[in-house]
Amino acid sequence: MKRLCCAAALLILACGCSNYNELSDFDIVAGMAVDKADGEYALTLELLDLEGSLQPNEMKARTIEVSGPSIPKALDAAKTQFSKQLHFGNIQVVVIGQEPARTEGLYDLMDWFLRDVDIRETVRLVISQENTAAELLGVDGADFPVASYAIERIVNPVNQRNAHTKDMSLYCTINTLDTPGATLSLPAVRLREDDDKKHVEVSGLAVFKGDRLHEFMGPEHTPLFLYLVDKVSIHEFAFTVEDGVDATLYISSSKTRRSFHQTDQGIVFRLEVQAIAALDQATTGMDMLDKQSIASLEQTAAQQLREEILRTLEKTKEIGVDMAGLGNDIYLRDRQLWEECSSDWQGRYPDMEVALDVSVSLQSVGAVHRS
Amino acid sequence: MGKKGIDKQQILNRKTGDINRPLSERKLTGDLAVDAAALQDLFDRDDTFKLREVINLHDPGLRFTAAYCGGMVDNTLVGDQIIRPLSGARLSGAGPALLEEIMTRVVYIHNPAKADNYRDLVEAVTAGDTLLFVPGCREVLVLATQGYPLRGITEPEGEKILSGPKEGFCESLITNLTFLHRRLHTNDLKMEMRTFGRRSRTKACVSYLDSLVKKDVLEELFRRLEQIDIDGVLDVNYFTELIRDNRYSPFRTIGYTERPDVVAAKLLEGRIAVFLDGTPVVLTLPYLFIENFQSNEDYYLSFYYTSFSRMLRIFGFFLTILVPAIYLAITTYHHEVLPTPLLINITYERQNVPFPMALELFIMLIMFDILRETGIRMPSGVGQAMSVVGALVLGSAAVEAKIVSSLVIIVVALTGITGLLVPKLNAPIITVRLGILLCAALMGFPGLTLAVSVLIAHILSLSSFGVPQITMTGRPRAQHFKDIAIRAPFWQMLHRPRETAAETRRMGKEPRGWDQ
Repeated sequence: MKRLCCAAALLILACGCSNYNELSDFDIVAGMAVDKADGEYALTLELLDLEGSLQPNEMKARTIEVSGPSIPKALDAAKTQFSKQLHFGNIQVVVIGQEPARTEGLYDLMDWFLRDVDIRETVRLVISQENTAAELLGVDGADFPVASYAIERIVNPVNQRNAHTKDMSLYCTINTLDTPGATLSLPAVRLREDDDKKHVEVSGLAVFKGDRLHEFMGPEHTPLFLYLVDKVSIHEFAFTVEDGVDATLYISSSKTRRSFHQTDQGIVFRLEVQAIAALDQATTGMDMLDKQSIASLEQTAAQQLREEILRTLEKTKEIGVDMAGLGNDIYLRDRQLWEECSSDWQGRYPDMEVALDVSVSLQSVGAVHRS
Repeated sequence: MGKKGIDKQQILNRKTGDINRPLSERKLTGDLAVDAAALQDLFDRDDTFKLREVINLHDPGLRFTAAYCGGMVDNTLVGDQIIRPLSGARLSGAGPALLEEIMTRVVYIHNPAKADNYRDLVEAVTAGDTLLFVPGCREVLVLATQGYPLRGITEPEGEKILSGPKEGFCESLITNLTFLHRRLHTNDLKMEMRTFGRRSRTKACVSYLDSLVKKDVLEELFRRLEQIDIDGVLDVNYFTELIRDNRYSPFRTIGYTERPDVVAAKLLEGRIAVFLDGTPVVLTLPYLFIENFQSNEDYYLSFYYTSFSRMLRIFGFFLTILVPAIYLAITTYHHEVLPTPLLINITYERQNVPFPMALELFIMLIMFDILRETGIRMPSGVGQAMSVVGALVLGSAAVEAKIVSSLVIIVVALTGITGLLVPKLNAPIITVRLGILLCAALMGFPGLTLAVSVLIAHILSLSSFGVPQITMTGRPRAQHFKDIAIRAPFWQMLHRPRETAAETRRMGKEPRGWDQ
């Protein structure tokens, strides 16, 4: 019994009650925008308003702005205004302004996010295409009133199985930055105005050179870029079969195999894309019970898909950044070759020869015979 | 000095001389009047005690005295089987020969016995026997004439089942032993009677199957029983607390049941049963921890269904002790674990609730136990109404009044309901749950982990009459696990539990030989 009493006394004395926090003492931070103004960090925090309704389409949020020479110092300043603690444990998205992304670099901007114990490393990063990141917070999403949650839901692959964006969380971002031959690209977000009402939308990719923002790539290239990096989940591919006959394929999965070899002219990459699709829509009647018609359709689709992927590849060369991370393939498979070419890899990339093979397999044609 | 005067003087002498002598040492004198008066004196101010003089019709000088407790004997039996034959019989002997003649030829009561000291007489009278004093004898005839009312045989309220035998023990020791005899027709079944309680002199019976019981466990049980020195035992729980291992542990180390089929099954696994007169509850030992999750119905229904049920019970045990603590630890120390939608919901619910989460949980858990206790103690109809009123009205009113959050109600309800899955662990669950909750309130998950570690260490240290409740030694074999988390089909359970039985083979090598 004595031992039991001693143990109980120790338990109480050695307890960690100081870490005890009631949830009602928190303001939940849904998202954060990071800008720089006058040499200081300007942070915009989107806080959930829990006084109102919790219905997804009726939730409310408010934004607060704080600034300081560093992110923690700026957040510290917020304590002078608010009685509740800011809870960063469930922050969904960090929106980074163009200006700090170009000038500061992500390593510096993300340093606090990586060190802070509350923030999850799965928090999603996006780049603002507006003048400041702050402009994106505080507006409604198209179907969700809290902008941070709207952005997170759009880029989260669990919610949106689409080919319009690339999901990048904090830890993936840092991993990519630290991977030799890999290039970072983050989802780009902008405001869209419909019926005098602004809401956020994801629009293409922000391409980085090192840890600094280099350029934006338009949304028309994003689905095709995903073929290069083997990240396609679903792609609606519309193409022309012949004059006046259009078709749309529902590409449900795709596998891209990448290989390279050295020739006298330099390194040649070979990309083989194998897409599995179903016929979604065709404007005129095609006899989909005929195997030859199907084979012809597959061939035409493959050819046009190849052309479009090549156009995107050319776009990356035009940007001058190895967005597909081909350099990383060399690093992983031929370390000696990588040692030789790594120093000016981005310079050599635009002139690199890339051979592309695309095949499309129609698994389902929804066989409808039109007379 | 008349006869009355002599009696008084003798009583006075006995009072002054024998007053401090134990009853067991006080022998009968052989003088019927003196002995009967002495017994009457022992039952002074007990108006249920009766002395009845019987005169032999053929020899009016031959007088006997019958002694019994009113209400404890069957009057018809006493009149027809003792008094009538005794008064009408032609008797020739005298003294001990007369006693022998009456015992063998006159009274029709089976199994008549003799007693020669006052302790045995008192015990016999209070047990419902009739004593027959025979003139000139230093012994008394003890005739079994019990005729007091007993509760009928009903299904035990606390161990109801859907399928299987519905009989339950009653308060009569002998009747209870017949239940066992009816199920185990073997001379291997031993029933050793003992008497406990200096004043209550309650009979108990230790029962076991001689070839299956572990002798060291049996010896240990008798060693502990012999050291019991208490004025009365009214229920087997008196024994439990006096002879159990780990006396401060909230967990059982001796099993109990009110069902004869359960006792028979336990005996067939080499366990020992302890019956006590006056209670329908029977102790079984040694007790393994897994027995907390076993039910007799497990063996009466499909093994698929009962295996699932048993896993649910084990899962329910962990849920009921851990859910409040996990909820508290997460919502007060480790908020980052919560998925965002859940965090928002909980935070929303917590707005304007005045109490800290820990206090809120403690209040609601104790409130639940108050409701549960009220439901048990009240008459069944009122108890059910109380539970419903308590759960619905109090819960929703508390949420509306912002005294507690609705999620706490859900947590407490889940805790309470899962606790009911394992009725044998009801008592320890309450203390363990509050202990773990306290640790979680003080330290979050580290506290919870610490408390669970202590709990596991404690459970592993439990033993029952030298048998560990959870065996962690020896080479594990599939046979050892076939009645643990699941209930394997009978044709796979070839062995008895190695912890309880001296002889472990339960059935032949090919229990479904016809199916080869």
